[in-house]
Amino acid sequence: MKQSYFFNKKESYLSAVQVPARFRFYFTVAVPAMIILVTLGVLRIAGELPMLDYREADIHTAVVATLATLARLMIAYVLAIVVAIPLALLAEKSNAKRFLLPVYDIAQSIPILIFFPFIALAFVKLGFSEGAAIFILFIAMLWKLVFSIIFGLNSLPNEIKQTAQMYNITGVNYLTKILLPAIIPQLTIGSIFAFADGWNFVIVAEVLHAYIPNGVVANDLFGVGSTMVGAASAGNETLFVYSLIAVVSMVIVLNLSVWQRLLAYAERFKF
Amino acid sequence: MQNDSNSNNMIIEFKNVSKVFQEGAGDNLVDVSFSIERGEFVSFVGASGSGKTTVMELIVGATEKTKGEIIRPKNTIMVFQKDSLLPWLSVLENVILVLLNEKISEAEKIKIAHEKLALLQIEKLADKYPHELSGGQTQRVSIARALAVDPEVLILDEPFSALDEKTKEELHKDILKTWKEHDLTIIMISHQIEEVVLLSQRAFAMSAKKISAEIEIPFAYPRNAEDEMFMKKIVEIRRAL
Repeated sequence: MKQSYFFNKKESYLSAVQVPARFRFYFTVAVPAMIILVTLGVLRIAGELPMLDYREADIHTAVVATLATLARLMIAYVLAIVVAIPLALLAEKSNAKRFLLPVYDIAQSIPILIFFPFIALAFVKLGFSEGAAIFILFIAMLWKLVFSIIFGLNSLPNEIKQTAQMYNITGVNYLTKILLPAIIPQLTIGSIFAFADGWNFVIVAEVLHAYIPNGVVANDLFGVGSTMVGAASAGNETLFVYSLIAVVSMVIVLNLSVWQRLLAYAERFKF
Repeated sequence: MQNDSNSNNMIIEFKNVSKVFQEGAGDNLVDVSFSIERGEFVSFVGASGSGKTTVMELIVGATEKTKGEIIRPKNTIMVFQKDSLLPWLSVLENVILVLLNEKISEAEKIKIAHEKLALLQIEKLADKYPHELSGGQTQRVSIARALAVDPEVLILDEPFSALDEKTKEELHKDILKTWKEHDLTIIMISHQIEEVVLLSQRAFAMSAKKISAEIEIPFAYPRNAEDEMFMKKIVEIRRAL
């Protein structure tokens, strides 16, 4: 491992990033657990999915469906972050700031669900139904992230900006050493709201048959949203309740194991 | 206010400099002229809104003049009144960060950082984070960070205003020691006249966006605030404001 001040004498990646002991649970348990859960979900989405009989399905279906939805949300979230950061930086840095912020404001106000039938049909015709769900979830999450990052950038004290200028910390160095760490608190809060919006949209995102001509249940994407709709249609109240409990449990687990810990970790980046 | 010294020794010169931030909003600086020699310790003193900060911003290049001529060195570092350390980096990392563009090894950067912290007697704080430091310690770290890049001019923007008397006294001694040992040029902004007389060789009194007086303070160091001549100098500066 590269020897520099930023790396502790102990050769572990936790010491390397000087993670305080109370945050190590996050890196040793929560993150790997999330990765495993999301991978399971992704595999479930990507594999050959047998036609579900909602009259027979049970708690196992509800749990796996929730994992599949979580995987979808994670993919949409990662894409949203990748797009949100440059959009926010562009609005802050460019001469078109006065023009861009109102454009972003209008864009986030447009109810994307109005266009969803066309979007869903387009992706289904392309043979990539998952794209429809991920796209709608991506849009649902994007603007929360953009505006939270912009808020974080605006909160950067003038003294820090002037200090960076004085010491010639510019370009990529300014971005990676100062700007990106500085926005972590706001980005964390924005991510929590973005995920909340994502959960709100999962039923719409997964129940594709409602939006495409001659749509059937087989067009739906496997996930907790479509499972809840399918269970309700089939009269399987038990499955519906299991799905509800699975979603609520997942949200609580995410909150306790990820968001709360991230919020605590983000404190160290606050001015 | 022209200095009669050899121009080779002059490090900063303002000739009839004016600054307007917004048309119609009045001048932020009106026809300011002065020069500062290499190795001097000077102060700008005046009430809030007198133009002191605008002069400093022009010196560091944070803003551009509207009229006049400015000669200034490129390597000018300002230590702000408010904390400008990055909270997610330790004290040592904050000092090393400013050496990012230096073409030296990581080990050398660490060595320089330790040396500058030792100068201000805060080497033991190297692994601490900014939220764990007192106000005086934070200022010391900011000064150590500034010294790491070997500035030609160090500007201190009301550096002691938020500190208690005991910490101020200790920092005064450290600043004077650093100034003498490194042959630095120091410019201090302050609204505390006593502090100006205690530390500076010359004071520029500012009021109404102009320099109203340039006052020599030819006392030997260390200075005694109870000395009669010291008190008279305070009165002289107060009258000029």
